[in-house]
Amino acid sequence: MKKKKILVSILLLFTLFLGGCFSYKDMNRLHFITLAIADKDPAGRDVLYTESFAAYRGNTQEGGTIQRVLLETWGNTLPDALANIQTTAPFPTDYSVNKAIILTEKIAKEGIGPYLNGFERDQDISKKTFLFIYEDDPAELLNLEIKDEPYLGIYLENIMTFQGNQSRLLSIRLNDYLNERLQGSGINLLPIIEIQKEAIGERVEVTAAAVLVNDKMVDKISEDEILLYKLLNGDASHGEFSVPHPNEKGQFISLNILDHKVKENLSYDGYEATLSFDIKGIASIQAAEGPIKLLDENTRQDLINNAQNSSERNVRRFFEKFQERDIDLLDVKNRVEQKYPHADLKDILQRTKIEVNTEIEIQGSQVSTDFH
Amino acid sequence: MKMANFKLEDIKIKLENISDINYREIKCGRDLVTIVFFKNLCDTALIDDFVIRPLLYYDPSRLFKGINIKEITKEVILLGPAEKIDTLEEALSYLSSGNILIFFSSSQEVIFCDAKGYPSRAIEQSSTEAVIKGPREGFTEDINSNLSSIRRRLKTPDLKVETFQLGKQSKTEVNFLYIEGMAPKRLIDYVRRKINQANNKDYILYSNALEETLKCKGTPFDTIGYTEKPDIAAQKISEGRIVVMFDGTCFAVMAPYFFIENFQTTDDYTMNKYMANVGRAIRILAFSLATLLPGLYLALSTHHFKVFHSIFLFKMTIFRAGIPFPTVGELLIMLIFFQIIREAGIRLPQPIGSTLSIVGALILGEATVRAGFASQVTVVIVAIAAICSYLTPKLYIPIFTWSTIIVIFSSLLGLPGFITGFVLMVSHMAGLTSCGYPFLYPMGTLKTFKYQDVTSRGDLDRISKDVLTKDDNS
Repeated sequence: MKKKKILVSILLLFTLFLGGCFSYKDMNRLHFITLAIADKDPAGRDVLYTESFAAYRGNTQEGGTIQRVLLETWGNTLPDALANIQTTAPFPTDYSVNKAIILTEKIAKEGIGPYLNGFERDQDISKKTFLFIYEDDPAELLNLEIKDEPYLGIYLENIMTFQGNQSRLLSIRLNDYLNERLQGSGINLLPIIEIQKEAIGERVEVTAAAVLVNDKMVDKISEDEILLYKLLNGDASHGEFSVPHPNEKGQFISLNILDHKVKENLSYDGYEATLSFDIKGIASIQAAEGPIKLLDENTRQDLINNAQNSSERNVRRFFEKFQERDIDLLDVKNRVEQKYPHADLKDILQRTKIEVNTEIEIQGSQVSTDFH
Repeated sequence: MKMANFKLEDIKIKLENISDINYREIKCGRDLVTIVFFKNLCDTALIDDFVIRPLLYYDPSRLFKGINIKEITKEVILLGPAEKIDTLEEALSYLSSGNILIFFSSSQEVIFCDAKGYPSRAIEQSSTEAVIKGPREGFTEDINSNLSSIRRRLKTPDLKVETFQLGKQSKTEVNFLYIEGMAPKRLIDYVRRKINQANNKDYILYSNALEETLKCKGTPFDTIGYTEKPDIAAQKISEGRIVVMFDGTCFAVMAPYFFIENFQTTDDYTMNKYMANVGRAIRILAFSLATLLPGLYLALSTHHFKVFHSIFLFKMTIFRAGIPFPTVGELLIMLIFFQIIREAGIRLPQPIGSTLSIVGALILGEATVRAGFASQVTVVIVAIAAICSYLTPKLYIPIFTWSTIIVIFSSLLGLPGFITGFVLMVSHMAGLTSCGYPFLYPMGTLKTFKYQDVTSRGDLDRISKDVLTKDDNS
């Protein structure tokens, strides 16, 4: 018993010398990073911008004040910059509550792998952080004054957390990206943000998504293409799309997707692969440009036909666009390999054709019950 | 005929300089009778009516034959039992227990009889174990009154009462109660042996002398129970436990006593069972919060910031901005402040005590924040822990001890330290016994699990009555 007590006491004593992520920290003696931006300067050095919050003694008796602190450091590598940033602030920086990592377009085109590696290997950095691509000057982004949320990192996190299920919005966290980059064709999408210059006040919006092949940005997809991508992957539970008006030429009708199911199938005949999607959807009429005769059977059928044709056309265009650019966005190569392990995979994307069958049911329109 | 080996003069020498001793002399025929008693321990009206008056009216014609002590004890003195006494030690012992000694000038024999009569506190409502619906009667300092309270509830001849005297000089009367056939023999022998072991001092005035002999050593947990209410004592006796009552103490000691009983109240059995179960669940939750919350707060706020929502983290950081102490120091300061306030509230007279609590809670809490000793969040955490500790007052010292240990572990290692502290506490509790039974009973006794009244109680007719007996036999 005495030996056990001595052993436990020694073990407890050792804990006093533990360092790193297990060490004791007081929250008022830290800079909590909310946003990290990685960039490269013209000299080829890695630049790290951070946005953080830190508490300072205030004049009030109840507590202190909080300040938004912007830091900028350089290094030959990102870990160097991460280390150098410690010397620019009075208190140690803490990445455990970091909300967002933004990588500039310059870095994305060169390859984000080494940068993510830096964020990945630092155990202190939260892996739940959202990833973004930004195409302009990071300093401009950091100097924005968004009235309703002064912390850009929290602003971006809120968009992704509370609006991430929007059909035209793509969100991805660092841990998900680190997993997905090792799977399949090595093609991933990262949301692109930009400053909304035409709006009243200064805002940041998510406008598109960058297509990364093996961690290098090769292309971009628009918001509408994000919707198609999410629909085909079963990620979008709802969304809107427009189809030609059956009664008024040149006008459109907006449909709201209420529910949809995608059944995909792949066949391979020894040379050519066929990727087929059977899409069954339920939609309601969101808005119409001009009157529509919904009681007319032919009108309704025309509307359904327009919706189905429009969907099929859009999916086919989306696939063929990236097939031409040899970007395997729908992970065809991996799908063929999984189903036909002995298939010839060389240029399989170019030997793949797509079949789309859509069946859309339109369930009337939205009903307003209170006109007040 | 056996004579006493002492005289009245011996008593007078022994009781020199004692102002409350009374020597009452009366003539009984030609004989001078001296009645010795402590006027503060005896009822003088009783002595007048049932001792002096009969002696005065004693038939003088019979005195010619000389004093017949046997006749006097059987026919004259109406107080009972009146018996002869042989030694000076016995005489002094009876005298100080409220008996009277009667000396006869013509005889060397001395008799004594019980004439106890002293003021005692009336039976009042229990102040430490309040109930909503249930008996309110509490024990007093008079052991006979306490015994009658229990006897009225358990009208069975199997209720045995053994009497001991503790303290070589104080001779404090101790009653040892159990139901024969219900209480395990092993337990009875164990407690009886411990009572004898406890009798090693000249003066034993408090029941704690026995409690400490029965309790496990080196733990803040009470492994022996106590109660101020006769209904609880009777209930425990009926379950096969042993109750020990001390003269001069308004608490009865109960053995064995299990951890889970700290969460049980009389109301659990007198009120709607659903309400009782909610109340018990709240008490268990309160104990958990009081013990674990300070440590958990410290572990999370100094090692694992990411578990907090960022808005809350912002707030906490602002509150801590002007605090010069580390969080662990701040928390320990507040925990100790709270203990000081609590101790002061208990020690001060009641009207001032409640005022002090308000001062402590409102002014000191607010002032510590304004003075920069502690942040608002820490004050809230300590306040929640403090309020929670009020729900289980018998666990107040274990809560303080273990919450402090867990706080220290949490400050060293964060959540792993918190869990280590928690596991140590549970291991410590699991290692305790109460009169040979595991303190965490019925946990760890699954083969003979029949204590169906742990975290919740079922219908009263389904609760096991013979909690201990079968264990003893098996």
